[in-house]
Amino acid sequence: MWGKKIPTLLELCIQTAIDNVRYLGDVGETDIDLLKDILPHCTVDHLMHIENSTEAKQRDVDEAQNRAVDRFKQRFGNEVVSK
Amino acid sequence: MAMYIRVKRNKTTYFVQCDPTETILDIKQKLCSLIDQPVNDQRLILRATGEVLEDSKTLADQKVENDAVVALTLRKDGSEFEDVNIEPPNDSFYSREDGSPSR
Amino acid sequence: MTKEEMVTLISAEGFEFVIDKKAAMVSQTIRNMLTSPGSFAESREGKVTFPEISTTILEKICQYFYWSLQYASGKETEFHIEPELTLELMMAANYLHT
Repeated sequence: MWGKKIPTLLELCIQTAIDNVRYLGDVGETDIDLLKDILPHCTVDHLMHIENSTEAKQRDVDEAQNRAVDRFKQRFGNEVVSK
Repeated sequence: MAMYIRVKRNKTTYFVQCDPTETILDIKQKLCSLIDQPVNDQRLILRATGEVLEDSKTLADQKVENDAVVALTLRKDGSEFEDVNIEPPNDSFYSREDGSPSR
Repeated sequence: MTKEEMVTLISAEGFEFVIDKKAAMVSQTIRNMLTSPGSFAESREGKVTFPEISTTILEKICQYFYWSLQYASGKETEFHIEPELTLELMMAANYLHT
């Protein structure tokens, strides 16, 4: 008999990453599919830090980030984000 | 499965399923089938305390808990037991490792 | 706990983890390797090498396998993940379908 569903390691990792989002740095090696679940939990400061840490390997992190920033703008207005 | 311990020697780690009521001799017998070394030529040492574990005592008696790291040393050709040798993982996380047991 | 019931997982740095097949099969990827007939030479010898997975990560994965078995048997504890391992562990978990 299987009781509660066993959390997968992937789920546990994503949860840990979200809980520790402020420590995220270089995500250049991380699959974009996995980041999609995590980046929306970042503040703009986190995103900037991640972007700066990851620069050389930009790829489509930008895209996921822009989407998250857009959502942020919608919620808090443009002036918070513009630097 | 009640618990498991991690038995380490050099670059190898054996994950051994066990029960707190099992004795150290029981564990050595399990290892015997994996490493082809008779129980008399095995010595187990709890890494957290450096204590040599006694055959007749149980895991619970000697506070060997779930996920504990236990060092294995062997005696070859009837001579002395070798020193404990657990190689640290030679990877990018290594600098973080201080040799203390994980929780 | 005979040799036949165990499988050896080998990390990028050549460290070996000898674990129960039952535990290893928590990973769908390893299960496929061990059960699909003849496809992996390693599986016949009971050894699987992961050149992309570092030792610390592979050990953590093995600990997860056993944690998962314990969880399934009703021992629901928390599985601790060090924040600095998260991203690399996540990549490996994704690859291993774990």
